[in-house]
Amino acid sequence: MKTRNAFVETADADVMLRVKWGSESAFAELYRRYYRKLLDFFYGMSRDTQLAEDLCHETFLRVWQLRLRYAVTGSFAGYLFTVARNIWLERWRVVQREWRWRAAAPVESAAFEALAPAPPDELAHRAEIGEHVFMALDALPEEQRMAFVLRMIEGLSLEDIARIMQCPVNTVRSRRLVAITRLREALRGLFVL
Amino acid sequence: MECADVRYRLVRYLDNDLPASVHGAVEAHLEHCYLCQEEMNELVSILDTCRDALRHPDPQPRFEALRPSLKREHAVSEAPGYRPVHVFRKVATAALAAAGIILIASVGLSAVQTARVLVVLAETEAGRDTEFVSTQPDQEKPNEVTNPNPSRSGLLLPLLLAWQTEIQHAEMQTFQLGAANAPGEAKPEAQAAPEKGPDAYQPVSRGESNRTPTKDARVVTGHEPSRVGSSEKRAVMA
Repeated sequence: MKTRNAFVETADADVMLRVKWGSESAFAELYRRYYRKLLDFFYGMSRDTQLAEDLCHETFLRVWQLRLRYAVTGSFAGYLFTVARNIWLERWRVVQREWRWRAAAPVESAAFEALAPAPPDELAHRAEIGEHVFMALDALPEEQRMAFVLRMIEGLSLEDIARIMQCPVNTVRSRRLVAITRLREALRGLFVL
Repeated sequence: MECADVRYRLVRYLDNDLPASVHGAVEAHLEHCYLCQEEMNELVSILDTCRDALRHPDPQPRFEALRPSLKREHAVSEAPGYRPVHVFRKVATAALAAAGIILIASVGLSAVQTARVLVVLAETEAGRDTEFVSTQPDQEKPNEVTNPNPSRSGLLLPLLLAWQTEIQHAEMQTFQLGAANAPGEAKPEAQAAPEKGPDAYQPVSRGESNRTPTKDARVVTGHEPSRVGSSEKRAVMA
């Protein structure tokens, strides 16, 4: 398992070196590999599909702009998500303002939901659970939420997350543990086993 | 291992983030503890649900939409006028600039201070002449130099004059002390020395002739005493 991961990381670094020399096809390969993961990260943080896509494209554009400064110092995933985190922190205030605006306009939201077609039971149940999950995530502090969301992305180790969040590994562990404890308390009623 | 310990480590157990021995102990506990198994299953289902909820519902890669932006966006290092600068080089340049500014400022300040001291000394000399001349009110004062800029030396001039007065006072005290410390007959001799002329110092007796003249005596006579040779000693003995 470790050998395969190491090979994947080496391959990513090689591909990025080709991007550094100006290869668009290599950049397309990186896009194919990491688009979904970046999209999930931004969606988990913003809870907005369109905003997640915009931020994802912005991240790739910035990687393309900064390609000549890239140096192989760690995993490429860590490098990419560090750029993504910086972009997210730049947009965080705007997103917060938008969330406050949404919270201040409950009538329009309720009217919009009433007009939307009712999904089948299974989808409704999933949507309800997703709503609970996001409500519980919204109650978390920013750093705990980011540690939790990043760990949910496949392929990111705790060391990568520590490098992305610029904090020690034990801090990532404790943030994630606190986040999971709070989520369990918030979601305990949904899982009657 | 207790149930509380196992439940505290469940998250790290699921992450494979525990040391091998602890991981084995948790695994062994979970095999026979039904309540901890329930706890772990609940945790796994919550994490799976969160993972599903956090996935983007409609992922559609749009690299083709990004491609025109790639051609439009130049790399940062390709932008006109861009030159990559290492961080250490930046710090070194800033340190050199700061050192240069400090050096220039210190040299400039020292030059200004030297010029001021010279001006003040010149004014002090001029003031001494003026003071000397002013004791004779009926005469004209040809040596008096008027201060062209009195405000510049207004603070330093009194200080320098007071310092000069103190030096003169100290010299007078040294003179008096030297006269008082001279033994026996040396005191009137020392006092009479200026009257006798520069070559007035002579050892009087044998006991006093072997004594090296002190600094005070030199101050009193104002001349270095002539060294007493062996022939002179013999003459004195005779």
